[in-house]
Amino acid sequence: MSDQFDDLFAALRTETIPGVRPPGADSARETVRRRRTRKRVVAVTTTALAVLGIAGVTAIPRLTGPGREGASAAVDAAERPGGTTLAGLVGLYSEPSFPKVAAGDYTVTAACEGTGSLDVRAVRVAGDGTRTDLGGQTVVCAPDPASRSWQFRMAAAGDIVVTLAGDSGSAETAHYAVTLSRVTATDDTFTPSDLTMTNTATARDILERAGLSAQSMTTELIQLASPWESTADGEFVLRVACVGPGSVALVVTDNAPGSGRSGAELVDEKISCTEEAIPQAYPSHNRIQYKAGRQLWVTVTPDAAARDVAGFAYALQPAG
Amino acid sequence: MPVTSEAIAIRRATTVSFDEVYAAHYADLTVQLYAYFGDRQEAQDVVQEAFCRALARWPAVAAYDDPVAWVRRVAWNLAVSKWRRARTALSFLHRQRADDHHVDGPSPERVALVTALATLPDKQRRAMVLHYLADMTVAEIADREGVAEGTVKSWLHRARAALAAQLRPEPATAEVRDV
Repeated sequence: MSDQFDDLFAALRTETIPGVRPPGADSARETVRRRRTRKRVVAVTTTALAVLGIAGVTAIPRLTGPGREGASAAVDAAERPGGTTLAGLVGLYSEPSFPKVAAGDYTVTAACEGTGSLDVRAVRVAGDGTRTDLGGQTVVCAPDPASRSWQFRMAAAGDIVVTLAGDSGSAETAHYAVTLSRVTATDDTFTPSDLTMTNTATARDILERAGLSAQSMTTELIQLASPWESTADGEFVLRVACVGPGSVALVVTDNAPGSGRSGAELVDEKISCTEEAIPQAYPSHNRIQYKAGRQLWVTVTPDAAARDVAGFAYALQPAG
Repeated sequence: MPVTSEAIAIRRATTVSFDEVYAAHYADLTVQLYAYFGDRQEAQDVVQEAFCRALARWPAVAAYDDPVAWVRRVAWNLAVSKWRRARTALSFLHRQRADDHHVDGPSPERVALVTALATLPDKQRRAMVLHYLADMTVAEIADREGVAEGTVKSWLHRARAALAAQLRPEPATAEVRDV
């Protein structure tokens, strides 16, 4: 019978395809256009409410830059609900800024319309002039540009300078748009992407196939935390799996129940993720002394490459 | 001047269009998910949603080595996620039922195959569909599912045996009549 399955499935394909009625590529365009319109309506509404003082969740003033009028496609790609967008002509180097940004979690979204590429970085400038790098991306400029984004946390209020370095293809010809938006509970960035969902399932499978009881975490946020506790005392071995690009910073703290995750750090490591799903647990020498009733918090901070793409899973098993 | 693989990749990325990929692969992906769901409309809805997601980020997807693999992966992710499936089905129901034309379906033999597939455990059914309809090798399925190749071979073996038992013609029995 098995020899016949090729024929059986081929016949199923042949007989089914004539009955398939694709809604069409234009229908897909209409769906995407409608979704984008809905997002813009949300953005306009949020901005209007903020102006009226009804929803003043952000202290970012809305700004425009010189040359914004030539950057409509870049602005379209980079604008985010409730965010503030800077736009203008790309130069070899420039530093537009978002002044007086409140503490909190932010997303930077950048796009470049034209040719060449543009290196974009966010830098926090403290009152004494101290500069702290907050991450960045290289954006490919195109007539119909795609946006790149990353997130960071502002521990204290300050100015954010965006450093823009164009190349010979983009300088003086391309237009940029950079949006700074607060990360909120309703932000799309909190919806894990398909890629991180898939990679997280793979990471969990890797550990479970090794006979471990695993917990998994997607990477759509700048930082994710997961509590763990057991009724057994003793030494535990920590095993982790991270599937996808980039790396994650892993911190494990030992805490009294209900006290949050500010306890003593037991583990503080950078975990490199792998693009390949290796069907085995990563070896780990992390041994943790655990006292029953305590709560371990596992906190993962993905880097820009891993964020919303990689998937992470961990397991704690009794040593020996 | 020799054409390097990098040049080929760049050329492909700049020439592949969403419409071409959609036209070439929508039906095939729908057949795969139909075999998995047993519901053609639901399969069409999920594949359309996967293409919408691809279109929303097409410059990035088109730059991948295999954009179709991305669409297929998203479609299967949608397919195996119950809450997504419910959400997708609901939204498409509202929009598209009015345009739903009646079309002839597969023959009873093919329906029997889909019905038999529906009795298999999810992983076995998915492996069969990916192998026979998506033309994926055992190694590719193992990579996609995150399991060893031996596991996929085992799934396929058990699935074939179960399907063969269900699709085997009933043995002829002597008809007895009173005269």
